This record gives sequence, structure tokens and C-alpha cells, in this order.
Amino acid sequence: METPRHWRLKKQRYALVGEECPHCKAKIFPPRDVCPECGLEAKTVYHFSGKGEVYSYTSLTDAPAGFQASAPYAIALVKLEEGPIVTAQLTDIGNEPVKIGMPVEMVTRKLRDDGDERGMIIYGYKFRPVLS
Amino acid sequence: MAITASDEPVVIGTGIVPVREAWETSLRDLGSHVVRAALKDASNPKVDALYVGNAYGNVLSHQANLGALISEHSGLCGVESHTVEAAGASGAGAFRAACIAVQSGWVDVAIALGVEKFTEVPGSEAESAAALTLNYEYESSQGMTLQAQAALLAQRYLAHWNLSRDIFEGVVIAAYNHAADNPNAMFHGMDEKRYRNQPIIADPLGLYDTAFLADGAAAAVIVRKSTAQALGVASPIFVRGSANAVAPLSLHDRHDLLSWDAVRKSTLAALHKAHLSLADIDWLELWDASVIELVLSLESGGLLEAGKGWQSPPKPVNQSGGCLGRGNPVGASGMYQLVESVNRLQNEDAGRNALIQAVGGCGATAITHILSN
Ligand SMILES: [Zn+2]
Repeated sequence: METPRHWRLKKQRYALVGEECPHCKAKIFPPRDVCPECGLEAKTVYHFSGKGEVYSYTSLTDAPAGFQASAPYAIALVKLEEGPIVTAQLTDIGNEPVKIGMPVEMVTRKLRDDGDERGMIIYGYKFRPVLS
Repeated sequence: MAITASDEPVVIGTGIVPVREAWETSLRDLGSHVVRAALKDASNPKVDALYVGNAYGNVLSHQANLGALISEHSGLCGVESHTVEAAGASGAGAFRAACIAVQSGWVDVAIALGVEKFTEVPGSEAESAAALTLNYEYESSQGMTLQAQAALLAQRYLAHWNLSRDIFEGVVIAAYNHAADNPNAMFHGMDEKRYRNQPIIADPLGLYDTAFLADGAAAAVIVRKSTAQALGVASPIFVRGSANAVAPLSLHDRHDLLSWDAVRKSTLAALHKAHLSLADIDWLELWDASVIELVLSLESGGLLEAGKGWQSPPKPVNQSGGCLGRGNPVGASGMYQLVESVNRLQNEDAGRNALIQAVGGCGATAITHILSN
């Protein structure tokens, strides 16, 4: 990913910073400045808790370029406590079978490296099972 | 200028090549070959516009502005031309652009082309490039792929309806077996043993549950009904309805993962424009870049109830073999559906109606056409 783009997305990637709609109170992630629920302007910053549950998941052995080092990996739709769903890898799963409904929490991990392309290593959110 | 019945778009010629891994051919050659074949089939009318449906030329062939390139390469210098891109619905988008152009009266003779060239790079690179149609900042940057998207839908579907992945077997085998009679298809049949021995690629989906990405091109010549009469075309195929509807690009932004709003809206809008209902449709070609996409298209399009999209549909669906049996040249697949359906209608008794639908981006963009003979 290009440096300016990565820099621009840092808050979302490192801290799950989204938005809250001042009109209907919907929580929005990823942020987009227009509420997907009511269509009105929504720019109020909102910090998500990072807690949620697995909404759907799969496991990939055939990873795309930049992700081979982490393959095989599980990728999921995670439904956040506050409502929105995010796409993210699951991590620290161990031998536990992934299940729909499994409680998970956000952690920051290495997402990918660009190889020799730009020498960049990208960090961002992944989700791990909630430690009980 | 009021649009009348004689302005209705009709197809007067088609060109198509079998889907395959065409290592020896370039994007421009594939495209110009079927453009010229379609023109010949239409007795070489003077062309005003060429609309090019393509999804991956920018990244896989390092080539933008296909309109100028392919029109010149087809001997059509000086026409109106540009690319239409809507992932898997690109070809259908080009067809719709051609219909709108001729029906408006601004263009008399238009060509719709769908063309895709996957084998320009090694398979793994092509698979990575295919993720171009996902949301880069929030999906592909997380390691998401097209197959993973389909798998996430399938996993949720099976859990929601308490079903096992066995439900996909009949749907996939039917697709491959239908393709046995399609000369444009890459695959010709599939038995239970082979299906059951497939490797799982993205749990719960296996190798055959997702269509193979391949090369291909198909084109059609579209004019107004009145123009076809003036040109002396004996039996054109009528485009009775056309509609495009979108849903959020990312799966995570959809309110209901298993209900495809774009498919529902596009189906209803196309039928409405054609003054027809689903009951008037004799057969359908629906989108099956993966088996779950066909299941959800059947449900959201209204052919089967929610949770039953894997069962046998009440009307013939994907007699061509679909993307699963044909192979999937993504941006061209919509034009394969349309060209094959035009050719089929030409050989059927008059009064038949067919519904043809391509879907780009795992339910994001649905483009539907109603064809009649
Ligand atoms: Zn709102």
C-alpha cells in the first residue's frame, strides 16, 4: 500500500476509529462521512471498543501476494458490539476451532509486507479469541 | 424526442470464441476477433459506437483506454468508444450502454464487447489481481480474495439454514453437465466422485465450487428495431428490458449478507421495463462465479424461497453451464451469457422470453436484460 494512503488510514487501522451519526446515533465503520442508515452527514469521531463476535469466517491456504508469509490464515467478518461488521484476519487461534458467534477482540498485528516493492510493512487490526 | 416501440433495441449479429486459456492471444486480438465476427454476422453495417466491457485489462495487461485501442485494432477508427467496468457485470454493462445509446437515437449502430485476458500473468498473480474488484482499503488490504468472499457467504448461509456443504454438489454437477453441450465451455461434465474428491480451497468451498478464471471475448451488434427493418434483418432478437442496480461493495457493509438487494432490484426493474413478470420468463441465465452466488441469485431473484436456493429451480436455469461450466472470463462473462442466449433464442419458436443477469463483485452490481424472439 502507498505511504500516503497508509498514513491516511492509520487511525482506522491502529485504533478502529470510526464515526457516530449525530442524527440517528448509528455507529459507522469504516468511516465515510455519510451515514449508511439515514443518509445524513456523519463526521463525529467514534472509538470502537474492538470487541465483537465472528459473523462468518473461512480459512485460506492460497494467499494473495503480500500475505503468503501468514498463510494459511483465517479471515472473518466480525460483528462489532456497536453494530458494524468489519473484514479482518483472525489471529492467535491456536487449536480452537473457529465458530460463528465466537467472541473476539481487536489486536494490532503485522498485516502484510510489500516485499521489495516499497520496503513497507503494514500493521493493522486483526481479531483474536477473547481470553477467558 | 419520445421513444417509441420502433426504437426498441434489437441484436442483429453476434461473435464469440470458446472460453479457454488463450496464451497465444492478446487482449486486443481477442476483442477485435469477436467484434469482426459479430459485424460479419450482421452483414457489416456501418458502426457508430463500440462499448468495451472489461474488468482487469488495466492491471493484467497494463492497458487502459481499450475503447481507442480495440476499435482501431478492429478497423473501426473514428467511432465513439470507451470501456465499461463493473467487475463481473462489465460485459452486461457494455451491452446496456449499447442499448441505451441506440434507443436514445444518439447512436444508430453500436457494438457491445466483453473481453478478458487472465493468462497474461502466472495463475497466482492473476488470483491476486482478481481482488482488484474488492474494497482495497478494507477488504483486499486485510488479505481478502474473491474466493474468500464467496466462502464467507457460503459459511454464513450454511450456518443460518443449518445445512451442510453437501447441498452444493447437485448445483455444481448440474452446471458442469449443462456445459457438456456448450461449444464455448471449458469443461464438459463432472461426476460425483470427482466432485467429492476436490480439495477444499476456502472452507466450506472446494476447487469446483468457484468458477475457473480464464480468457474470452464475445460481442453483439445492437440497433433500433426500425434500423434492423431498414437493414433487412429477418429475425432480430429484442431487448425488452434492461436494468442495473447496486448494493454496497463490501460484504461487511450489507445489512443482510444473504439477501442480495442489487439482484432483487435489478430483476424487478428489468421485468417492469419489459412489462413482464417472472411467470412470463421461459428460461434464465443467472450469475454463478461461485456456487453460493447462484444460490443467492435464485433466492433474491424470486425463483426459489430463502434457504432453498440450492434446490431444483422451477424453470430452466443456466442451460449454458454458466460461469462454473463455461469458465469465467470475468469482464466478458456477461457478454457470453447474452450472446449465447441470443443465439439460442434464434433457434427457438417465437414468443420466448429469457432473463439474463450478470453480477459483479459478489452481489454488488447486478445487470439484468430481458431478451425475446
Ligand atoms: Zn444516521
